[in-house]
Amino acid sequence: MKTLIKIGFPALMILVMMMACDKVEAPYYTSRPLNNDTTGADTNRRTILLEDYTGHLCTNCAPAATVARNIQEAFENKVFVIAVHAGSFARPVPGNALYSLDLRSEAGNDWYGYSTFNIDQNPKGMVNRRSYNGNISFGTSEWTGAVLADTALPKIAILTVKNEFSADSLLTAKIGVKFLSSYSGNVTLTVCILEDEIYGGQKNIIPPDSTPEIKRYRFMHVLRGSMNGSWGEQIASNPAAGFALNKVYTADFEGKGWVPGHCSVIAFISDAETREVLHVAKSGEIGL
Amino acid sequence: MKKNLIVCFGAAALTLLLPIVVRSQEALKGSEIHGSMQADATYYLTDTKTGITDTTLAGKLIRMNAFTEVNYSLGNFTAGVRFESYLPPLTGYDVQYNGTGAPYWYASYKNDFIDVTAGNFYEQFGNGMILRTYQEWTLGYDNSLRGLRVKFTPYHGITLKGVYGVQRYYWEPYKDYNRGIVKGADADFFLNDIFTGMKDARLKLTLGGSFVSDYQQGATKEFTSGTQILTLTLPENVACYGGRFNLNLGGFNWQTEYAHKINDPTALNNYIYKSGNGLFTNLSWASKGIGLSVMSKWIDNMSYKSDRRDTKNMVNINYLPAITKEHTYALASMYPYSTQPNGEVGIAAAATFHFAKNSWLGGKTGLTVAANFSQVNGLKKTALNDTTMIGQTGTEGYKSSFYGFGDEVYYQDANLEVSKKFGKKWKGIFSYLYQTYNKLIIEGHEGTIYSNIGVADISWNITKKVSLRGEFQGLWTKQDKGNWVAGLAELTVSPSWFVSVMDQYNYGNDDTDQRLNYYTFSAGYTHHSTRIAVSYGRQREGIICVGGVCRYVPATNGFTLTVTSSF
Repeated sequence: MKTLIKIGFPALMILVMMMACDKVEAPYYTSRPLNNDTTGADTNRRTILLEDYTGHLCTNCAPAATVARNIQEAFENKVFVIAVHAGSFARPVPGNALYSLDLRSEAGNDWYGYSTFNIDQNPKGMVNRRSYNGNISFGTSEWTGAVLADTALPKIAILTVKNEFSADSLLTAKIGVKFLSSYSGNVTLTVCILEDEIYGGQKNIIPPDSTPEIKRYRFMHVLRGSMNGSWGEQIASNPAAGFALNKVYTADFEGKGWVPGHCSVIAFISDAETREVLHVAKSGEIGL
Repeated sequence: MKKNLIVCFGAAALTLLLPIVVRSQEALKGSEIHGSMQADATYYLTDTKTGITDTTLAGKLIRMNAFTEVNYSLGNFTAGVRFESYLPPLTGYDVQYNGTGAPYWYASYKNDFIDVTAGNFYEQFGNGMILRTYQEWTLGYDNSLRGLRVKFTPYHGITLKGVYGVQRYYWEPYKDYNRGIVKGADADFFLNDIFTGMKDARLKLTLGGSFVSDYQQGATKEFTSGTQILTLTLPENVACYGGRFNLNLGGFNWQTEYAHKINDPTALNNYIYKSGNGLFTNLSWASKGIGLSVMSKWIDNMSYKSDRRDTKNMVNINYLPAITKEHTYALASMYPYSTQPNGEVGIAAAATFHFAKNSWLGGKTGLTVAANFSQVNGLKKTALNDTTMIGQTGTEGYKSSFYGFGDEVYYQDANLEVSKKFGKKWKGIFSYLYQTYNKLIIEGHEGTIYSNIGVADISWNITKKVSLRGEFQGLWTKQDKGNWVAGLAELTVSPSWFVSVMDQYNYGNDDTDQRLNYYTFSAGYTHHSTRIAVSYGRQREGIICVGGVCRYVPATNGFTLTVTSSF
């Protein structure tokens, strides 16, 4: 009896304290149209920057780009994607024509290497460079949740982007900023060039055993570079509501191989210290 | 006047406290303090040839990983603490480790019946397929549990364990259910001790069973799919359970463990709802001069973490045993296998023969021959139906069968090692390996690599105290970075000094600019249990693995100081 108690009591105690499991039965999800969340979009809300850190040698990056594109299309004019090709998965492979493209940029490399962003694998993304569930960068499964979380943030500034492209391949971007409410802290403005419709090889994996290479993959929203430095330019310190300014930046396309008709300018203002993106705007295609 | 008052007060306090101090010293008689420390510090240099710039180093050229662990014991009582510093972490370690503090501390009490630990602890149920928490410094891996552990030994041969806690996640404190709560129980029965009739039996049998449950708050999660938002219903309590046995008869030993996990949609399995299964079995036989073993494992959707969002080597609740051989030579370990928790099936066999001295094959000094073969394939997975992709979020994911080998080879390693002494002063170890490494699956890029590897390791005991060891290695492959050769010369003056020089030369790289020498000069001094080593050199990019768990190692160049000590 004493032995039975000695065995039974602790066994019972251990079992009681940890018995729990939830078996979910199909269907495992409910669905609703994205329009429910996006139509009648409140123009007084902050727009959202979704950075997709990617590379043509990354096997999971093509599905991630699809996720990013779906989000941008669903949240039209509210979410803007930058595809940042950086890191070892983005490097060109010598002697391999399929992976000879070098879509890396100085700004992308700097962002990728910035330790606070913690971009340690591909694909990984950031939404407004804000922490979501304790992480500033995260995998694709978190992107929708992070975007939805930011859709309710108030708009603190108006951003306008206008371009001129001259016959001698000079892009002039005119950026207007006007604060709708005061902000405590230093604010930077970063202006970047994106290019769509670039074609090249892309590793791809459709789980589990198929490992195709996409020989003519369509790269979109590719970060070509920043017009005013990787971290932009400080434009205000503790700006008050109504504070406004205009900035003009130029970029020479000569010899770069960028197709103006596929390029656009994206501008965002950020907190200089935390790097949090406070608002973002994008132009249409540059063209001539 | 004020000074005198302080002196008087101090004297009075000392008089009052002295008896207590003396009594405390009596009470502390028999107590012991043990500990260990390690510091790895590197001064990094930029190196244009390997792409190391100030940017890739984030401007932080001096980095250090260090820990000190101190354990105190008195009778049945033990307490300890480990202090860690990553200021900032060495390159290749997660930047989220940046910081300093004491992430590990505990106090425990143990007697014949009960063993209680409060604080952090490392624990393993069976082979670890259901629960294993451990620390591996070289990987930057630590999934310790913080909470309470109780072990009972209610009867001779019976061990019952219960654990309840949360896992370490870098420096992030647990709050507001920001990761899961792990609860588990394990029972182990050594039948030969329990039943007196089996006490002296040649057959030794141990049976065991475990149950673990992880509670993570968050019953829904949203995804975009085309023009829809999907709201997944998530299981907040995910259970994993299984059983095992270990049978020993003479030179035979057979251990097997099976684990089953209920639906566990996570970022790692793309949020599918399929249950997980795992089976590991190992049969071995040893006799004088011969050792044979056969291992096999089947892993199907068995990643088990206390944070479903994590895709890295953190908060793993379980451990999936590796069956592939872990190589130590530089080129032989260039392509190590990393366990694929989403699905793999593998077999391994090893044989060791020792031919005695003065035998026909052994010659005057004896001969040892070891052969090893392992192969791991992907699982054979089929789609649920024509309209659902394999692994599609919000579905069962796929169909698979018990031990269903997929066509794709993830890893294969066939190797032969011969060890031979030549007289009293010379010894040689000669190895040949043929490896198939699916880099696309294991690292995520650049296809499959087939390599032939040869290693000759020659030791020469010049005197009783002085020895010289040389390694000559070659790796030949048409894929990846092409052919390599490597050489090492290491002079050891026992018991304290060593100096070595090593070079790995990537002479077969298709990119002629990348035909680089990765050289390292090292020297070290050992005094009792303290070892100090310095090295200078260039390290190649790659991954290192311990037990199938791997860490990416970027290319580096610089000076490194390593100090280890124990007391």
